Amino acid sequence: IMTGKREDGREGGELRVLSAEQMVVNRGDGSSVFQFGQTKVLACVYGPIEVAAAREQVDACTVEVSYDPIHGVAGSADVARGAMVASMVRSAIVKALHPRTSVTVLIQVMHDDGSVLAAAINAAVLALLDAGVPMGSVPVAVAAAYPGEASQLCYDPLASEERVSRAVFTFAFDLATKETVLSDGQGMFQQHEYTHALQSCRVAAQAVLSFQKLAFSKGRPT
Amino acid sequence: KRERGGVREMDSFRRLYPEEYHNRFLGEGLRADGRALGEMRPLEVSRGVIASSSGSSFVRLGQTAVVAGVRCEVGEAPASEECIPIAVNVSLLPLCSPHYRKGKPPNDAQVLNTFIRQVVTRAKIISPSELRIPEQPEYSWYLIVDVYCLEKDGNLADAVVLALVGALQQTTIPAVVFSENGEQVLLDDSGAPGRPLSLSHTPIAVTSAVLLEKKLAVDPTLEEEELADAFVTAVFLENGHLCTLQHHGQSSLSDELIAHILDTAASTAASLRRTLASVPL
Repeated sequence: IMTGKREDGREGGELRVLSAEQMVVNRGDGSSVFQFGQTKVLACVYGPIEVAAAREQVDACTVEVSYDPIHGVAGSADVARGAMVASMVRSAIVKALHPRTSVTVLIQVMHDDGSVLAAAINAAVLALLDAGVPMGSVPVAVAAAYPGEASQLCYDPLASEERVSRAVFTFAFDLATKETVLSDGQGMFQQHEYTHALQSCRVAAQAVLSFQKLAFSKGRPT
Repeated sequence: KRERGGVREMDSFRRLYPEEYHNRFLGEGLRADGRALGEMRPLEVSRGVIASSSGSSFVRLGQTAVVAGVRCEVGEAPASEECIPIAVNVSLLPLCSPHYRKGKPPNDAQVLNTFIRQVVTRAKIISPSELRIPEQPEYSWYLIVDVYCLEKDGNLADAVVLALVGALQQTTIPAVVFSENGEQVLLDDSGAPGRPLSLSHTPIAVTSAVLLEKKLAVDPTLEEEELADAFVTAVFLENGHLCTLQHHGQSSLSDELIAHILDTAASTAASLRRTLASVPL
């Protein structure tokens, strides 16, 4: 992978074809489908809506996220990913503007060919924008991996690449402040490799953000 | 007079205005329990606490208490050569927190379980060959680790990893004999000693919370967790490499703050590792 092309013909620094659609679901206040190549995630947002009294907060909106895999019931790994998406949503929306309500984000994975958490975050952000939930920042997510022993980072890994990579990362950034909202790194890596992956992915995230802007404005009255 | 002092007033203030209360300390570079920002709570570890298990440990980090027990069972060898036959389950008992009830594991438990299983797999804690039975290659030892949280005062992740590693380090694989036809693996009752389990890597987790206005708080208490804007959990191996790094929260972090957190966490992990190593098996 260091010198040659990857399985699907990409270079190390190349993202797959991005694709997004909004307003895909009639009932939700907002919805979006986001794709990194074949990885496809649907996000649907309801909110601000009524919240159960037990979860009500007097000074902020309650964020609830459910994350469903392609097949079957959500397992521990899906709950953990849902928790990551929830923390991203909490960082992005202006919770204080809608106290005693809830914003519910439903994530449905439609196809997982790698970088699924990043796709889920991007889908959720587009769905929140589609729903018109007030947001303080627009997080953008990108995944990357260090394949085998080679130190060359490759962006947007396929599922097959994730399986054999020695380290896989997902990052979400607030590009306006250049700060990191979320990182998830697994495998064997050193601190400087994590930093390198973070900085490189932030550059790649610019491309994703430009795409998100295009996707959001398409089909909307200007 | 406004300033009246008194324990009851301070307690009410703490409960009603936790942010202001903690800010008073953070402003002086301290935390509410008197610790420095980068300081962990006192760590107590004991091993061999469950006599009926093959290995066990009890970990106390401040008020947080976790116990782990390891059971060895024989089963069919896993199909894949690389698969480590270890199953870890973390239970958040109702007695550790008023938020947990009997029945379906709470979300927190599922998140913690995913984390601990990732650490075990990614850290390659045990080499798969360590658990094989050479005389009977179609069988393998399975390690079943149960981790119970007995008291929850924040930072379960670090305590659970310490308990897991502490118990595994103390684990002895029982001696076995084989039946006449070679088809059964039986425990050796003759009193032959088992062999100690050898770990390939020992992961140590360090969780730092980022409190109001980007103040770092390593090893957060429950109160600090509820106030925290962000969490960074870094799991270090003995060679200084990382095997898991998770950062999430409702506020974003700058590169400098992340670097500072990781540097502090690396030295904290080294000191936790020394403490754990000093506890006799």
